[in-house]
Amino acid sequence: MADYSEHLEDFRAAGAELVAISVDDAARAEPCRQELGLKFPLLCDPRREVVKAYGLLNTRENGGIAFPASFVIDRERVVRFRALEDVATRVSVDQLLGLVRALGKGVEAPAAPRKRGVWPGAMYIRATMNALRRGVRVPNQ
Amino acid sequence: MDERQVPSVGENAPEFALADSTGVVRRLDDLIDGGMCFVVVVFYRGHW
Repeated sequence: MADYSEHLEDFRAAGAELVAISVDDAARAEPCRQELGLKFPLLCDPRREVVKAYGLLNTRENGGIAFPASFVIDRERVVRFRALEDVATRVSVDQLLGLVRALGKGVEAPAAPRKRGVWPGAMYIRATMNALRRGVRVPNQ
Repeated sequence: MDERQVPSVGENAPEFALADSTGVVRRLDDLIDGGMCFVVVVFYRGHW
């Protein structure tokens, strides 16, 4: 998220507005936004309606969270690019920015990088790091 | 994840209206009408 924020002006210069969505409520998302100094909105979908509408609800984790995904949407509300799951986390901000610039010039978007297997241990390490850094999430009472 | 449930390239993105972390409601259509050519929407796992 911090990477996106650093490139926010570049996205705008390329003609793109940027928003991020998670199932976090404001009480979770706002401290995160402030801590990271994010300059774009963090949209809160605690009811998971939008995450579901986009087919991205991961019910296996923690009451349901969003699978990571990125979309580039044009003025007709048509999806021009999408990257899903582990691919989404590997699409760097620079790649996404380059893509938006290319789309802006009327060049067709390249296909998303091929999905490759990820060593499952990486997920646990990342989860553990997150837990250490931010604390373990306790279900709402 | 069932990728068939996820809007693909060339399909319409579902409209949304969600409050951001500061309480401002953001609609996809409004973001599109804001004068930009594109809206980049990033779904992230969140704080857990």
